[in-house]
Amino acid sequence: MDEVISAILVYGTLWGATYSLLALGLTLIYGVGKIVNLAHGAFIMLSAYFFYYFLVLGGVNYVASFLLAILCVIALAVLMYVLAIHPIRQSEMSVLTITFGLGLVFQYVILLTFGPLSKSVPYIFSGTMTFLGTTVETQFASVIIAFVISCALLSLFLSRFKVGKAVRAVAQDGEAAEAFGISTFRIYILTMGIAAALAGVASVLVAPTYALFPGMGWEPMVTVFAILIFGGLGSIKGTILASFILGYTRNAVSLVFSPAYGPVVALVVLIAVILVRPSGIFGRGV
Amino acid sequence: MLGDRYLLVILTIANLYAVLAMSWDILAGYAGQVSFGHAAFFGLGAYTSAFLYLHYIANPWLTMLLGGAAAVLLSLVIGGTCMRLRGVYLALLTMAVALVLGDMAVILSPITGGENGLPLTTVFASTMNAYYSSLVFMLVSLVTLIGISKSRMGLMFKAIREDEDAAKSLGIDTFRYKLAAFVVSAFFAGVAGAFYGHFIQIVVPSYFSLNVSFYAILMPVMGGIGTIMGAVLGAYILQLLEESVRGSAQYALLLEALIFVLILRFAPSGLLHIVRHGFVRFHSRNRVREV
Repeated sequence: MDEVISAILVYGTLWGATYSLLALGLTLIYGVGKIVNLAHGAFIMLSAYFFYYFLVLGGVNYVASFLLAILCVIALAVLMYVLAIHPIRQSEMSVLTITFGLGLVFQYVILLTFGPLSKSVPYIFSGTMTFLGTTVETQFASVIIAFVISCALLSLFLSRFKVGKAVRAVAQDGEAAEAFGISTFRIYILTMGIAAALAGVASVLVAPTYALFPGMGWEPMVTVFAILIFGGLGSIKGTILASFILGYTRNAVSLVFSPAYGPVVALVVLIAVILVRPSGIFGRGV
Repeated sequence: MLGDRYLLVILTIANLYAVLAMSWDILAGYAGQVSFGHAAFFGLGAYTSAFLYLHYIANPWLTMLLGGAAAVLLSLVIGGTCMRLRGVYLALLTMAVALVLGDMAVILSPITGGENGLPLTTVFASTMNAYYSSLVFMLVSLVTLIGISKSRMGLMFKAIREDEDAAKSLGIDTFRYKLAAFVVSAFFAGVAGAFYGHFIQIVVPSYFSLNVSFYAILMPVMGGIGTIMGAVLGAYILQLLEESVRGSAQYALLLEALIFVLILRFAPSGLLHIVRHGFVRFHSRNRVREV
């Protein structure tokens, strides 16, 4: 029994950290631009594939592959925003639908390029570590470090740097920010880049523990959105809290019942939140 | 001869997809409830029909109707939970439902046959027979749905789509009508799925796939949202597309997704107007330029 509890705590924490990284960017984009990006799952998938491409096919070393993969995803995210989203950003549903289509486009491009068979990426960190009696792969454990560093950097960025404050300004009131001379367009691009980067880091770090396949991004993304809604769209605190709650819950269900029920947890949470409090824990209202 | 049969298969599939597309259109194009997981209804109808046919009921037409009924039950659950939901929430919810059902189809393999699905024996006397049945099915659905769209119910749907709050203030029971839209939509999608299963003689988890949900949106978008006829047109265009890229299913998918994105991005104001006009009310900030 102790092992189960310990496993839930340890794995739950790691999952919470992973989901946080995946979700933070998305909540930022929404908070800043009211943009719901259904292609986010594709970015998760793409960063893993880019990493695979550079590392396995290109023979580039780990660090370089990692950086290149992140850079590529950021570039793609920005490009996608500029060409497809920005022009139609007034209509939330249009953005929703077009990003859905784009997510599919990316999926099918990868399907054509790499084929339907799953790929695997070698481990960056080898070995295992043990916490509270539970053993985890070091590779997975590295996510917590990425999470802590990212949170620290993000928090610093938003509070101390001029650009970061601009981001907060746009999140509060885009039009007022424009009136003060802030280019919301640049802020949107910056936020998209940050979102892609955070998701990319999480994805690449966790990638070696999974099989890569073109459609791998959708399910994590649905979970992330459940987190977002649970925590309150646009609230960073809420997102992190919700990520961990979901991480622990999902793990508990996986370990106690069956790993297959993971997505069901997300769905149940989504439904429960929608029914009880659609604005989420720290939401600003629907 | 072989060529003719192939053509019949294509046309049959087009008819069935047309019904799926129409079912999405009545819900999204008319009532403004945009579902990103219509595969849930399609797949549930297929699996229900297949399961019943294999184990309990010998009449495929009856099982197809029951497939539709199963989809209706699901729609009542979804519709019931989505009452005050904005487009974003509904989109995610429906997507999540389809995803989970797809997972369940794999997990519950004793019932569903798992990854391999449920194989079905032939129920149609010939391919020609199947084609005519599908044509009748499609035409009946077309007439029914157009009838609904032009009826008072259809008017209520449009009112809800345009401005739900205004509709409510006029005393329209939006809850009941939204639910009705879901029910109607789910029924046709479910029967279409069931028919499809009996036609290609296998029902697999991919009936719940995002691809199917995508097609349900793509066809009306291509043909013209909010017209019912447009959905049929879109279905035929889709089959045409698939045939023109025959040889590589993956290229077809990419092409379709690209067309979808391009239409959404650059669509002539007529089409986009319908899309925006139907969805614009969900935008939280009222900007003058939207009107």
